[in-house]
Amino acid sequence: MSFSLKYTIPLITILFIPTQVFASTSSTLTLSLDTVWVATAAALVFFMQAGFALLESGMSRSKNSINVIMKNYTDACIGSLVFWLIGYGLMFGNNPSGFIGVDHFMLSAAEPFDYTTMLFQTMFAATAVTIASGAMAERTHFRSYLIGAVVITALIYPIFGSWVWGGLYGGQGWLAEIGFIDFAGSTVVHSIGAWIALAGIIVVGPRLGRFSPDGKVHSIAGHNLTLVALGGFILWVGWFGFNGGSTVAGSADIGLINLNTQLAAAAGVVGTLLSLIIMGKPVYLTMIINGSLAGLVAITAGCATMTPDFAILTGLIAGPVLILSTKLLETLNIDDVVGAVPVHGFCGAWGTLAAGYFKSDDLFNVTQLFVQLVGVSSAFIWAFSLSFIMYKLIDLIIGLRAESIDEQRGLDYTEHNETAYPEFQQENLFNDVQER
Amino acid sequence: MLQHSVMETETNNMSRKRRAVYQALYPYFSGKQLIEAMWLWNDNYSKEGSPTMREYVAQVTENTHNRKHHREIYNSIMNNFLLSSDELVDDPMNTMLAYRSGKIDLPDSQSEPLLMKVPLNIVFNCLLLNFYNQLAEENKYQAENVIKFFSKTIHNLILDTEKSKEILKWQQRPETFLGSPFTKEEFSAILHILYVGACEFFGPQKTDHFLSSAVKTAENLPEAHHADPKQFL
Repeated sequence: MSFSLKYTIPLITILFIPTQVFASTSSTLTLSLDTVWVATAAALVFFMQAGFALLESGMSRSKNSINVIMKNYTDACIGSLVFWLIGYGLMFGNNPSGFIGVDHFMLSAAEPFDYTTMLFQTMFAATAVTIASGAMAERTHFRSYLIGAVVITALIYPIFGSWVWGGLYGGQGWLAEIGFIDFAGSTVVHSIGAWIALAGIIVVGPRLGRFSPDGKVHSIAGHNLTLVALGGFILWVGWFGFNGGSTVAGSADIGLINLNTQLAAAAGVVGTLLSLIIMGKPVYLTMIINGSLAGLVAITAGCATMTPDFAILTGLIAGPVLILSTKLLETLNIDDVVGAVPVHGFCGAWGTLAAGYFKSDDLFNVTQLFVQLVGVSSAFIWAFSLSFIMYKLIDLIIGLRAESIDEQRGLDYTEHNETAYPEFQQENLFNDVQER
Repeated sequence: MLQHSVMETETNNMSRKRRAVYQALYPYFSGKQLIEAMWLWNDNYSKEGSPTMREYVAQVTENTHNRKHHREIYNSIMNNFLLSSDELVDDPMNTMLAYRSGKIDLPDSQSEPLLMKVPLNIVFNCLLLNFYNQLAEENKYQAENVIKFFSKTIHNLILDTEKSKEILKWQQRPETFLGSPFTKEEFSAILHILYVGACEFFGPQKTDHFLSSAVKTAENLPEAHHADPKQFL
């Protein structure tokens, strides 16, 4: 062996070792960073459950406030278990047909990041399922609602999800294949949840006295607007995890995504405010808070693919969409307690269309808009029709609607034998709450 | 003419007072005891002023199990003197006369303890009346719609002829007392149907407010010690 060869090989080896070590360290670091970010984002998304609970409970009458929170709390728990059991596999499992995932059920022996992904997606499933609770509040049996929650997280939500986000382990959803864009779930999560809610509120019917036989609409004010406002803020904070976490990586894109999220939410409020003023209507706090949520829902699909100016436009237009769709539901005598269908359904649909039309590298592409329309329509047809059948069956078999005497007494008492504010509710309530 | 009018007023006043005393006594007395207590008032105390009522109550409760209710009975009489005619039960004079002339024979005490049942009627009627009056004060036309809704719905529930008659009578004059052949469960159902009707025409929030207020009023009745108005909710 010549001198040069004798020394060259170790030298080359020495030179390359740090690079290999560095490469290995770098990928570990990236994985760790991704995991930390996505797990944190998952926690933020879970915190949105608290936001939903406060918002929905505050918008309900005090005699139903525990029932609303119970539904939020328990559907998140049931949703988590059912999604682990079956939902995740159907949504993200190998998807050869483009319509349904076929493996990765009951995930228990997987790559470390799979657990992180599953954690994050579980929170999304819990969000989708909880949307219906607010819309159907104050007149739906607790047990019937929970059965609905099981079916939603086991079938309705994950199967549609597989059409857009499926094929994490092979294959691709049919909507993704035709180029449908829904970055964080304006349609996949929010609209699906809202169309389920719409079916639910049609089957369950309006609350007692919401619409008079003579056509008059009786507004039923919530019992605590402070809770509503706090709930709105918590949802807003959680949305940074919802949209930012959808990168599923600690990437530099998070800045733009969360900036768009913030701007669209703010624009949603302004859009709502302007619409109300132009229409000569009073500016209610609940509408303003729903305005911010409308902006947030709308930007969810396109937060990663829009420039901030279009994010603002998307949020701004979500305002009138919210107001007009709320009016439409009232005209049709459909009683949505918290405005879940206008916020998550109509604004989700609008945001999904905007994501295609305002895509920064392909602005105003009509073909893309058509693809988005196909996605939005298929979400409605799938979620509404299936959940309509589901709620009808639940209603036939065990009953969905609480008795009118239960509505008089309040579901807190009739379903849970509790009162939310015992010090203040004595005059309305029954002397046997504790003894029953 | 004037003299005739004064006499009529006095008779009416006497009748109203008798109804007030009767309404106060019948939660506590029944059968012969009740009618004899009424005759005692009629013969010896009806023309006396209110201060003699203490003496009267002491006399009727003496040597009876109602001695411990002495104060409550007295308060109830005083309270009933302030009630309007519509809020009082019918004049018992016909029954009193029939008893004195021997046309009817009353038991010493009735099989169903009136102490339990009568306050139920009074409290319920107070609750119902107050609830309805608030609806009528808010909007007379809509209150009539509530009664129309009530009459359409109630017949699915009350099938008994006598009870139906009472209901019909009340529907025609909802500002008066509803007769008393109903059970507690039927009272609850009657109130609930009225509640549903009120929700339809006044909205649930106003209805809840009126109902809460009616419950509060009924809770102030002395009879509410024996019959909590919340049991009808």
